[in-house]
Amino acid sequence: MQVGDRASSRYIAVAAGLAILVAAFVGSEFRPGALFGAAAGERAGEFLKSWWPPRVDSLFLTRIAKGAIDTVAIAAVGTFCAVLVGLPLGILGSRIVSQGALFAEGEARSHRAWRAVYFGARGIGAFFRSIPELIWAIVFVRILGLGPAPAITAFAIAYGGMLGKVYSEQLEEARPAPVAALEAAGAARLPAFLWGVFPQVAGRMASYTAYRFECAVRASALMGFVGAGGLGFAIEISVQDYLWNEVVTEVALLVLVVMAIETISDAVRSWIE
Amino acid sequence: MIRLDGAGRSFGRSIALARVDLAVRSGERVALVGPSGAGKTTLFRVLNLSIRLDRGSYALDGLATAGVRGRPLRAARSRVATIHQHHDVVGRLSVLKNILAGRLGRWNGARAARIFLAPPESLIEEARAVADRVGLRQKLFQRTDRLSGGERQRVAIARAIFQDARLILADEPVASLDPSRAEEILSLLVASSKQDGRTLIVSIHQPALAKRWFERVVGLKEGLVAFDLPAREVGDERLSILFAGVEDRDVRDVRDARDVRNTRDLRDLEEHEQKIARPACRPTDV
Repeated sequence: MQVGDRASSRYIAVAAGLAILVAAFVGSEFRPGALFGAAAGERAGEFLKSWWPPRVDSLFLTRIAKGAIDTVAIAAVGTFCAVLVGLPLGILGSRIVSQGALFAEGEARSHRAWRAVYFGARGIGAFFRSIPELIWAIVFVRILGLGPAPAITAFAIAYGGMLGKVYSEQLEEARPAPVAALEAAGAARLPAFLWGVFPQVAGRMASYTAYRFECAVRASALMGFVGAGGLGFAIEISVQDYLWNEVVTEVALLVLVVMAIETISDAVRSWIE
Repeated sequence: MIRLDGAGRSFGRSIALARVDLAVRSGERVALVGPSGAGKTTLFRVLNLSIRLDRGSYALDGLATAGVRGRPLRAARSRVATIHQHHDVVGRLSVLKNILAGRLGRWNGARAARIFLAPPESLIEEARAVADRVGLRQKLFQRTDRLSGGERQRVAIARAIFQDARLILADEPVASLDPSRAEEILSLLVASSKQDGRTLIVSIHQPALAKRWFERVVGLKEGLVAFDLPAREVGDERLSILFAGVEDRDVRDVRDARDVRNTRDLRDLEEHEQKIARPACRPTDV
């Protein structure tokens, strides 16, 4: 392809992107001006007044602190279960194992059964992650009842699908030569994978899992709204009773928790990498 | 020990090995000389059973290797240790684990997993003894990608020794080393062959080193055995014929490798050939 062609096709792509953006603005009826109108200002003022003073008595604080702990615990267990789902999906859904991208000649590969496993794992993963965790949670609240179980199950499925996709990509990034060297010395598939592929990517996988845990903490608060307990549930109750002075404290606590988790996870990730 | 009869192997349209007859007795030490692109790496990949022959036959320890697969293939592979040109050790693992990995061919999955998680003291001791031989005793628990290139090569040598194979192949082990280091590495390889009675085949660019360290020298050119002689009979005339027209050949290797890049097995070959080629010959993004 000529250089000129490439440049002009880039202009066309940018123009098409802008057109879609304009159409989306019109279609969504979003009017930023409304935020700054006089009526909006009055309403915002009244709303802000209802926040003050925030509720900070110890009985309330103990209750929401317990909620925050529940939220983090749900995220932690949920992420752990997601890893249990994501690892097999990622390994089976990467070409490394299923199609033997790394494997030396003469070994059985590209067999129909392995292909079926590969596409099966990819399909299941795609289905799991295409439905947001909140929808999964709503479904599982119906099945499992209120409490942390539906939220954890939702994380295991939705985040398991996401982890599976990212794991499989990371596995495929492993350098093949060291693995081929192990196989040339007689190593079978699984040992070659464990000794040759896994060490190359384990750090990156752990790092991405830590990031997913961060996301899970935020999402876990949201899941409280659909009955999964924790801080989100406390916010939901306060909102229903128009107790905005409680909501302020609860949201402030949520912000603190999320920031703390992010700091910890950043530290862990920079230590891994 | 090994016997190749009319061995040939092509990658797409490019012929890597044309027709090679070669027999090496147990305990023999052989140098393989020839320009880059002569087929040395392909020959090694045939000998360590990474790739198969298109034509001819290869017998390892009396076992005809054609059609061998699965467990017997892995058992045969575990009897051949290879020191790859680019070392190909696992950078993220410790020196210890890289050395231990030499025995993976003898362990089943469960054992390999157990040793990965917690290597038993007896194996650590054995690995330490091997690390000692290559001068890496102090570095046993360091991560391999923290070592220098020369040290990584020693890790690869230690892994090959630890594999306890009957045959050791070393692909251009001294290609990028200064003369004193080259002597050091060759003496290490030859000593380990003598000490443990292992067969040793080393491919080497510099004919002088080949003649000094090995009793038998095999010249390879364009996938054919150009000569196969005791070291003292290898004269300058033969060598100049062997290395004539080397530069043209380099350029052609890159082109050949590109022609067939859609073949998966060739990815390594291509990568390898591009590394050898001078920057001017590297395919550019036109």
